[in-house]
Amino acid sequence: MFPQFQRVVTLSVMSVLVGLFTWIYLRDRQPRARLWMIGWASIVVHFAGMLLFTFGLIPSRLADWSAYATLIAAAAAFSLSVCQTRATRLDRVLFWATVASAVAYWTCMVCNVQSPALYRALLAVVLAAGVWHALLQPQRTAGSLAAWFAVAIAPGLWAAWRASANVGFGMDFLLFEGFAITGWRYWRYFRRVTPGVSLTSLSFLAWGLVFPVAEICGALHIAIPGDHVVWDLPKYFVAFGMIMTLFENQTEILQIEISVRKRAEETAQAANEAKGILMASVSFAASRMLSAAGWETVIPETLSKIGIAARVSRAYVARVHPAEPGLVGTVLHEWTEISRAPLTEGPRQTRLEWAGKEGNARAASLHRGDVVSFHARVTDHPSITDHPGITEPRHITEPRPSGSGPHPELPKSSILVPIEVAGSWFGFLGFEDRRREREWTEAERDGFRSAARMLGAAMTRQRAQEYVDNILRSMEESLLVADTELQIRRVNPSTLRLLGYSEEELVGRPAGQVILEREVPARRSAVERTYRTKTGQLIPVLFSSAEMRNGSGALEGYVWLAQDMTELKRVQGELVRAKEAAEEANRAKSVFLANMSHELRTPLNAVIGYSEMLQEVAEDRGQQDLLPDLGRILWAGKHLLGLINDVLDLSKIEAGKLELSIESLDVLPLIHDTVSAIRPLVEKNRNRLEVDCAEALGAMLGDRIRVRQVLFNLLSNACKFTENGLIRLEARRTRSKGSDWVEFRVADSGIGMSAEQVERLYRPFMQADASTTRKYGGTGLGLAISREFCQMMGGSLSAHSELGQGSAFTVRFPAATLAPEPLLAATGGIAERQLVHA
Amino acid sequence: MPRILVVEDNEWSRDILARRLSRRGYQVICAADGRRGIAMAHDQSPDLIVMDMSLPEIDGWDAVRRLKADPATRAIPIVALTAHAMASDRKRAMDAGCDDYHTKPVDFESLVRSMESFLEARNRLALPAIVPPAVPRSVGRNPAAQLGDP
Repeated sequence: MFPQFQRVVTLSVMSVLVGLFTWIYLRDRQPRARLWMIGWASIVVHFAGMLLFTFGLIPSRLADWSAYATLIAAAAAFSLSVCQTRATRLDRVLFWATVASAVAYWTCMVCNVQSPALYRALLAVVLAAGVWHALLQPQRTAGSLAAWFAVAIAPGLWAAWRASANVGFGMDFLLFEGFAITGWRYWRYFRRVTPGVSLTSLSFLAWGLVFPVAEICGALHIAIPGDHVVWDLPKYFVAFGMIMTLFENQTEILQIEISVRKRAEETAQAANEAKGILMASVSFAASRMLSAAGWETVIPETLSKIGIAARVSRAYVARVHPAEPGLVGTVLHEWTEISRAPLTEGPRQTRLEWAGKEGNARAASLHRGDVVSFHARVTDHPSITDHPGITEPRHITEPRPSGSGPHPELPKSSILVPIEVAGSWFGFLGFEDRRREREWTEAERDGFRSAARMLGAAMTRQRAQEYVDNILRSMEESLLVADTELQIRRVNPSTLRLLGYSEEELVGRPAGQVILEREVPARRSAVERTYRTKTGQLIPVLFSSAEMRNGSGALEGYVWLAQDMTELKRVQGELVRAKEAAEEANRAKSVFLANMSHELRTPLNAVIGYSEMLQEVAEDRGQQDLLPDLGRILWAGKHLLGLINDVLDLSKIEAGKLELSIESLDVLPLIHDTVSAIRPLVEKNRNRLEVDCAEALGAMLGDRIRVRQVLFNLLSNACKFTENGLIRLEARRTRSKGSDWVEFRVADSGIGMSAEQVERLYRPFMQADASTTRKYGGTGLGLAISREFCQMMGGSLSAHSELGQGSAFTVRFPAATLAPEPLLAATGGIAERQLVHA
Repeated sequence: MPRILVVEDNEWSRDILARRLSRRGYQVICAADGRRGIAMAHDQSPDLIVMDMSLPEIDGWDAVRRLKADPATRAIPIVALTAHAMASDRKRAMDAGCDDYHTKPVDFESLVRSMESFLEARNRLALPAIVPPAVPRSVGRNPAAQLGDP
């Protein structure tokens, strides 16, 4: 009866306690009160299970389930309530490892798994977690470790050893561990001796102790009187102590919690302040970089500002060598704390090299634009080569002092931030802390990133500036830039060379000192102007002026480009003089030709005129014997006239002065005229002329006079070199090269020409043979001139001949597209294929 | 009988032209310089003038311009006969007011054809038809070709 009564009372008391915690929780919303409530609710369930089992209402197996499950739940809740306030990642790992192991252990046990090895393993996990926890305590001492070992580890080990005999023994130790750790931590957390805290902590410890004690007693067969009361007492004390703590120290605990929260806030504020300092240093650096001419002049100051603000040991700028494997860089600039030796000394540049897979990964991350950070491990640190000179890599990790931990001179934490210049990866900004291992805060990362971005922007800007400078420097032309007041603002080296001034003598001076013209601001392109040098010499220049406007279109000044024209002028002058001389010579030639023509024609007029008249007179008087001599005089005169005309034509052709008037010509009338004009010549050597022309010849394009001249020339040649023979004139339309042609062919049965003679045919004054001139007459210019005419009219002239077999000349002219209609009417006789026999 | 005024400074050229024209049945009067040519054009009212261009006193171009500017002589056709045989010379002569242009050495038949066409046109327009009599070819100098004074 007693146990039943005791359990009913216990259950009642526990229910009241749970009610109290619920009330407190609902009133104050204390997170810990909620966990306690859960813990105590579990214990109520635990007692309820015990009670039901006592009255035989549930089987023992279910009682076991409820007993251990609820106790584990309670231990977890209480432990969590203590852990939560200062929960670190380590705490959470420990907690869940313990809970998971405990659940696994208990599941195995109630399922009656008979495997001591498994139980030992699970116990070992819990013990290892405990040992780990003890070792990692920040303020561990030998005494506390020993105490920990004595109260927790040793019984645990014993339980593990005993697991094969009594598996429940191990479970009890687990619970002991859970409650003991909770009590210990509770104590450590509040760290003040108040009745509530002391009672709670000690009660947790005692509660944990009763399980192993009970097992030990059971193992030793020692009967403990009123054992159930003894076993349950610590629970009451715990609950009592907790309630005391809550009530008694409610205010203080809240205050403590408030102070803890405040400390966290202060930390955050400090971080904010640090961030502010860092940001201030970064923005300071930014302003310096923007105002300075070159980023390299301000980088030492910038690095020291940021380094001090971020409390690092070293800050450096490195240029990367992306072509090399791993992460390889050259330190360009460096700042170190006063106590640290810099890697770089004097003008030497230090080479950093992170080799291997990690180096590659870091290079890849930086290339992507990511920040890379790492803690001290020997492989994390670059080998360093001083160069030039020393090429042997020197590891700064070499002499490690005795004991663990990295070399004191080794950076414990490093962070590398990529620098991008003009869109490509330039290198990185590196920061190291050699005093302590640290996690880089977001603020620091942001600050470093800003610094790197700003540095990259400054480098980009400087590069662009240098690019422009290089362009100006390499320009051959003189460049002057003036402001709207026409004061010179910028000059390039070419200008200085041209004018003989130094830069200081020109910048800031009025432009009028150099450029003579007043209308300088006007837009001009490639006009001639005059510059005045320092010595007062005037230089002709090819000058261009443009307005310089800023992005919004406002006038900022003027840009003047000039090129020295002295040499050009000289050459130009020579050219002009040469051209004038050539023109003068040409004019003289023309005048000479005209005069010659005039002076020759006048006497020739008399020669031809008198001989013609004398021929008539001789015929009238019947003095036939005089006729041949008169004929020779006449022939010679006409030959001379032909020569004069041909020479004039040729000289005009050569001078490109011959003008043709191209028109559409009806072909048939043309043939008619030519045939009737040539007839006397045909008859002279007793030749026959055969004209064979196609029906529809239409019209062709050409100069009427010159076409006739060509045809006449070919026919007269044929007449000259043929005796008692046949001369054929053929005309037809052909089509070749995609266009229509009118083609004339003059063939004779005369003396013909050899291949060499054909070749020389078109050379002026070259008849087939020098002797032919005497025999056949002619100037030797006719064919050359005819061919020129044909080509000028878009046609061609070709010859085919064999010695003794006669010659054939073919000329063709472009056909006119529109064939004139009244062709037949105009030409009358020549229709069909008609042969004209002369 | 059409009356032709030959203005020509070169004695041989003048002589040969005058004689040949006379042989063809024209009445030929001659002048040796531009000034005399203009005067004779006024005084003798020729049916046609054959004009050399390079003339002393007043050159041929100037003389033609003057004759063509004067209403009294404007209607007389003027044929240029000159040793200036370049293409530009033809244009120069026509621009001055010549009605036709022939170069020396003269193609006599062509010149006569040209003259006849002008004379015919003139006859059709203003005068009754003048049929040149079939003059027997005479030998020797045509008295008309003689100059009154040099």
